Amino acid sequence: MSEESKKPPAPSSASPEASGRFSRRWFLQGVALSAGTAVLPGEGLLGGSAFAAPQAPARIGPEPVQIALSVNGKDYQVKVEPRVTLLNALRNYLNLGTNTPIDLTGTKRVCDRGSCGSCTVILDGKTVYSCSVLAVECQGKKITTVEGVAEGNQPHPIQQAFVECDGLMCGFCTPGFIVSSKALLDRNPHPTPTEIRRALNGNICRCGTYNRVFQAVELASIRMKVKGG
Amino acid sequence: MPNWPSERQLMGTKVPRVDGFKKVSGGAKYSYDINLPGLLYAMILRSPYAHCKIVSIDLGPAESMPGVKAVHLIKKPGDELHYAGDEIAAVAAMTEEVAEDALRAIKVKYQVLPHVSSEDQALKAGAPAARAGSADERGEKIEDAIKEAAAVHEGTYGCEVITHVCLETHGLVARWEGEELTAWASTQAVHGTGTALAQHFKIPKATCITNFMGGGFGSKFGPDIQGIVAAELAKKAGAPVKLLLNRAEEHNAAGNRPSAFAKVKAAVDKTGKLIAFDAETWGTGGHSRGAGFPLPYVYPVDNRRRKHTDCFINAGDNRAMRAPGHPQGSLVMDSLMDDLCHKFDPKLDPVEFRLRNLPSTVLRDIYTKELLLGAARIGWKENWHPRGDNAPGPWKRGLGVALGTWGGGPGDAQATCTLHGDGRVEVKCGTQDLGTGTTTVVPLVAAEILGLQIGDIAGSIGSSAFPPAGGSGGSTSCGGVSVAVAMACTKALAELFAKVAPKLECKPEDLQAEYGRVFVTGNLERGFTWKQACAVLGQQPITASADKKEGEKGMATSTVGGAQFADVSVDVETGRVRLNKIVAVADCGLVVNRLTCESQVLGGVIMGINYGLYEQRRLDPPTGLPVNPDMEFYLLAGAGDIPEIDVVLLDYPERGVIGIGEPPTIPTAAAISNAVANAIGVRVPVIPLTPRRVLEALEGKA
Repeated sequence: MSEESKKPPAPSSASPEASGRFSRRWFLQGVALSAGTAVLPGEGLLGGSAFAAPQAPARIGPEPVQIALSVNGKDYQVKVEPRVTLLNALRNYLNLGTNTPIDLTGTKRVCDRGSCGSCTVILDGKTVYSCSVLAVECQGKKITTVEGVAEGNQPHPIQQAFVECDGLMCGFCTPGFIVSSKALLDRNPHPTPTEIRRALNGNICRCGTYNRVFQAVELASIRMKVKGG
Repeated sequence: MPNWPSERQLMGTKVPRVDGFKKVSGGAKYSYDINLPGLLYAMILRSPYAHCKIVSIDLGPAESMPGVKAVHLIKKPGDELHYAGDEIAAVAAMTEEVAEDALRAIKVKYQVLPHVSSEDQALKAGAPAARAGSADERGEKIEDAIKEAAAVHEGTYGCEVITHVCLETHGLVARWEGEELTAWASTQAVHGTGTALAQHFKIPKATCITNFMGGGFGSKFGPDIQGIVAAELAKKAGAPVKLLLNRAEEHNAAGNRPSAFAKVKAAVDKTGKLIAFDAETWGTGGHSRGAGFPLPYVYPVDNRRRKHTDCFINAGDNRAMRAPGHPQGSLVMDSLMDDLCHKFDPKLDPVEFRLRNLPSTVLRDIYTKELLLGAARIGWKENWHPRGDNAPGPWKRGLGVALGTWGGGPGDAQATCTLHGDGRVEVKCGTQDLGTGTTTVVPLVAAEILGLQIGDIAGSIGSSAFPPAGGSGGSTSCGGVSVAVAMACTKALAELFAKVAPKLECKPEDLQAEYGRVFVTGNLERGFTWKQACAVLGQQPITASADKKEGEKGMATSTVGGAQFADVSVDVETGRVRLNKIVAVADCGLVVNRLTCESQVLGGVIMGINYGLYEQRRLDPPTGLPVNPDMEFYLLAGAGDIPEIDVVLLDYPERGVIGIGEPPTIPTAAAISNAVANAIGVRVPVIPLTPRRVLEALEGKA
């Protein structure tokens, strides 16, 4: 293992490449883990509030571990087995064991194998397939889901444009397209048609709305330009 | 006879979906998204072999696992499993992860049986798996006609099995409250699913809710095994259960479009008219279902013979898929037509050849318009050349055309319209929105009839608690639902007029509702705002019900035709097909919502592009196991594969409303195949037109 890979990554370097070099050692150094006692699944998943001081246990799991996820600017405590993907943590675990269920099911599970893009979220500024990232990898990172794209109660221009251009039909792939499009406009506010297609090549739509999705991204881009984007 | 208003404010315009913001913000809750307190997750154990028998099964180890709340046996020892993916047993557990572990803990002993995994194997002499299906022979002079023909062509054409790939998989969330069952199902038929569940459990009623639905394409009309199993598990566990298939299950067990192969001999007379047609056809629709498809297709021929054989193989069964049978019929027939045209006269324009062979029905006029319109839009006159592009370099360009037809017509639907004293309007209909835009059609039509804006109407669909409507299949929802809603609103409005007329000192029949007002015809001033008018109702709202049967004649129609054109470039060195442009001319009758109608056509074309170039379910011959039950090796077009698609709606308001879900996906693949043949000079006989197949055709091996 190289010296470099022993260091915890700076948050800004969490690109797909960086997460591809994810090493368990620096993960364990940098992550706070719960006491790690065997807990029956579902038994007081948030019980105990045992968010222990940073330590380096020999291994994590297979028992559930308590982690903190920062989703759309809010921090959530969840207890998940290390094998739980970020996608499943968002969809199935955030609302467990609380009196005020958090319903973040906008992120969709479709292929569950990193092929279709329906589960796309923004992780520290870069799009990732949340089906292909473990929840435990995401501590300390900023996660933006489709629910976090709107600016307060105002729809993001990309959302407005998708509705106006009918860049959606059944809508099941739409959260992924919205997130990918938003990430594109964040890094390249005025993409060319080719750049739009390239940026959205990781998202599959079965109803067949692509052409209108392209229109929507162009429309949003123009509007953001007018607004001084 | 009831009819649509002759002047329409909203119908035919582009209206964004009323549920659009929910879909772009994650606020749309699909059945897959229903999370209830105490929800359990269920999974199904499936056959790991293409063909086997269960010798013994022990659920004990799963049952005793911590977190497992219920187990359910679907098959028993001695039962045969017909394909890899056939259901065996199911578990419900507190998390998906535990459910997955529990499936692994179930102990099953199998006796592996010989399998059949391809049409060719099934057709081999002595194989028990093929069954001669229909034989159809009409006209007595096939041989004579062929003898005297100006040109005869013989060819073999084919399409592979594809799967629906609904992005939201099949399944439901089941909850029991005493003897009452509620199911949030991903279904194209809330009433049908509710009824089927109630029948299975012998209860008076089960409620089925589908607020949002992630695609069905013909494959989701009932609870299916997984829906029944989810409800069984929920009953046993005393807790709500979510069971939605995973991606592999969706490919293997949730339906497919059968393959279709045809060996055809056909002939034309000296005027270029089809005079004889002789075909042997075969295909597979799985282990127990057939593979029928219409042939001859679109183009009539008096002397014809067809023998069809269904090949039963160890694979999941077919289900209706977007225009069942028609894309296959179109691919075979329109490929044949182009080859026949080329044989008859290599310089004859295939559009002209088709015009000579159109049916003498209501569709003749429609096809003629569509062919001429589409040819102009694709640049046919400028760019069509006889077969084989002689331009230098590896990229060869070609144009192709194909036709499709569909029945459709208004499906069963009832609706209610309630007008409240405070001006609120509620419209309910027990239909569902597959992504087609029905949620928007309901308030749009109501607003048109009541002279209001779409935002003034509270439309409700997607529950079997609402007035009965048929399943959304066969492109029948838009016609049936819009007529039922229009009739219910018309009746409610008549009742309102009866109450308002005395206040305006006029007869009810003198009143009209438009621009958000109720007024005496010809005098906008002599009337009330909608709210003022409804105030006469006080605390007694008006509710009117209607059935689509009350107005369907003249307001909706069946029998549609469509034409599509493709402009392609083919790299003869690599076999790659690149689409330059597709033109789709769609027979739309009276368009309800132009925006979503165009989207439907666009979507149909893209599904046709997938069919023509990419999709194929593959089974591994030695094992019979599916090779690509995923979205990586099962190819679907991505953003970079999509050409310019020119959608042309052939407005025909006097025909009434026409459902547009199916027709536009029919001729796309055939038009692409014809364009490829036009570009490279030879037919690539089987779709998808993979690079390998293109190269084989160029080398004369196909």
